[in-house]
Amino acid sequence: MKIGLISPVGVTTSDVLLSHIFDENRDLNNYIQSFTRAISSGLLVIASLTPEDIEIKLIDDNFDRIDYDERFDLIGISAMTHQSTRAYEIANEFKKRGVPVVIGGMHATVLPNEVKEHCDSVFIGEAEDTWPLFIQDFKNGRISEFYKSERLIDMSKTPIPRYDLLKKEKYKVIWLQTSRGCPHDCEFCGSSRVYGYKYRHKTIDQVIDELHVIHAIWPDARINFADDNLLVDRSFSKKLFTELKKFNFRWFAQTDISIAEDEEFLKELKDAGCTTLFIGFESISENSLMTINKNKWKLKHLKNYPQAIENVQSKGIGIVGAFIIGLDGDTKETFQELIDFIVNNRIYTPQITILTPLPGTRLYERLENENRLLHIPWNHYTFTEVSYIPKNMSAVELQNGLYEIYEKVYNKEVRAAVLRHFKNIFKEIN
Amino acid sequence: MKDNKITTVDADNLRESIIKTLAVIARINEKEINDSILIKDELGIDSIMSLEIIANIEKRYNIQINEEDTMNITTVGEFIDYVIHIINKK
Repeated sequence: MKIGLISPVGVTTSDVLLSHIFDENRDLNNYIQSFTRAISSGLLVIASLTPEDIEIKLIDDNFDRIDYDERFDLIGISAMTHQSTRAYEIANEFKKRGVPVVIGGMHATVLPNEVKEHCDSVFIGEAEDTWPLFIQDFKNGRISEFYKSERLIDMSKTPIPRYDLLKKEKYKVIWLQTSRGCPHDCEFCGSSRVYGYKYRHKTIDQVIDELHVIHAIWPDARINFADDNLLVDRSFSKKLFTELKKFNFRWFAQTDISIAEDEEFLKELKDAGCTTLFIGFESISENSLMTINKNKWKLKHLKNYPQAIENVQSKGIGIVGAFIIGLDGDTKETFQELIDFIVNNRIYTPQITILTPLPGTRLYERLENENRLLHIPWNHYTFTEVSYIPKNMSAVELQNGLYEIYEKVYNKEVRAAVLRHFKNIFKEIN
Repeated sequence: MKDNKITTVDADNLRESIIKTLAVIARINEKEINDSILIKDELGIDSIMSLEIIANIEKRYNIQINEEDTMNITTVGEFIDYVIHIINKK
């Protein structure tokens, strides 16, 4: 028996002007593509959960040509919302040829009925329990339409993903997930709706085993931690740092701004090989931050943003500062305020996105109730395109606003100043 | 008259020293670095690591490197030649 596991191509943006800015800034482009073109780590877990007597072929639509006439007994696809249009195209081609297709991932979890129209079975939620059950059903010739995970998976029992299926030379960045779940209930976040709010992590021994597997294939790998917030549990993080130092890896992680309050912890991060941290600032507008999460956690930190940025970056750690425009508290004036904030605080990699109501989120439900969704195709849900009616400006103004911000914060003079700033930091700390 | 230009022996030492700097900052095995290897695509050295490397070399050799000049450099060998050129210009 042979299964094809397919990760559909990721879409960076359909905005031509923005695309030009990305192309001009190689580092920004590399950073963006490390996300949009990352292979689904879920597929590597699925492969690990598959019995050894079944042959697996991993196909990354970003690099590999899909041969629809190749013989497969089953096709499995994992897709996020922006990949789902392509996922349906792939599924339809295989189904036309009589090959059974199953689809899982974030999009299938939140819109199972839509996804079911393109495949035989849909996986809802985490697949650690349901995939083995499905394989049994498939072998017995009686599969169900939906396989829904009924509990949050105990991360300490998850298998090591099949990194060996990745073509060594194609991947410079390896994604590793140590935890799932995030305590911050942001209105726009799809992840907490799928993984829940409870922070669950693998054991340190599991992570070490995984690092050994990665190290054996890519001795000089750059690790991107896929966790929504790697550094929630500081004592777990410190144990992780000790191990990471032994492997001498360089790495990137996503976290929140509270990290900046602990000087010693920041130094340990740098020593452990951390080069860059993704921090979701979301907005510098009080009105906008007010609406993002129920406990107003980010609003409470707003006044500390500049000092926090300085604390992190002065340790030689670059911040990927994530900001969203088009929030209901935003006006056209917000664009210039944001430009000034980014430039004045010399954020290493500013990442600005347009508010995107991913299906399954509280935001999507609210905008649907307010009749503000534009219902554009899923492959335009790239976080760079407007998919709803903004409150205080037109959709065109918002789209142009994104371009204007990128143009200003990535112009040559601004970037040169940021690079000089970092060069001076490195001279001071080394 | 004393010649300030870098001699072959000095150039070899400098080459070794730059490779060591690359290896330490980028956390890469020194043995895997050679003149023809691609800095970004093969060694995976990103922009922030590049800055740390440049800052280190500027400080050690008391030179100024213009980041824009290094934009088109792709291999380790080209980078080393560029640094030698800057030191010779001093």
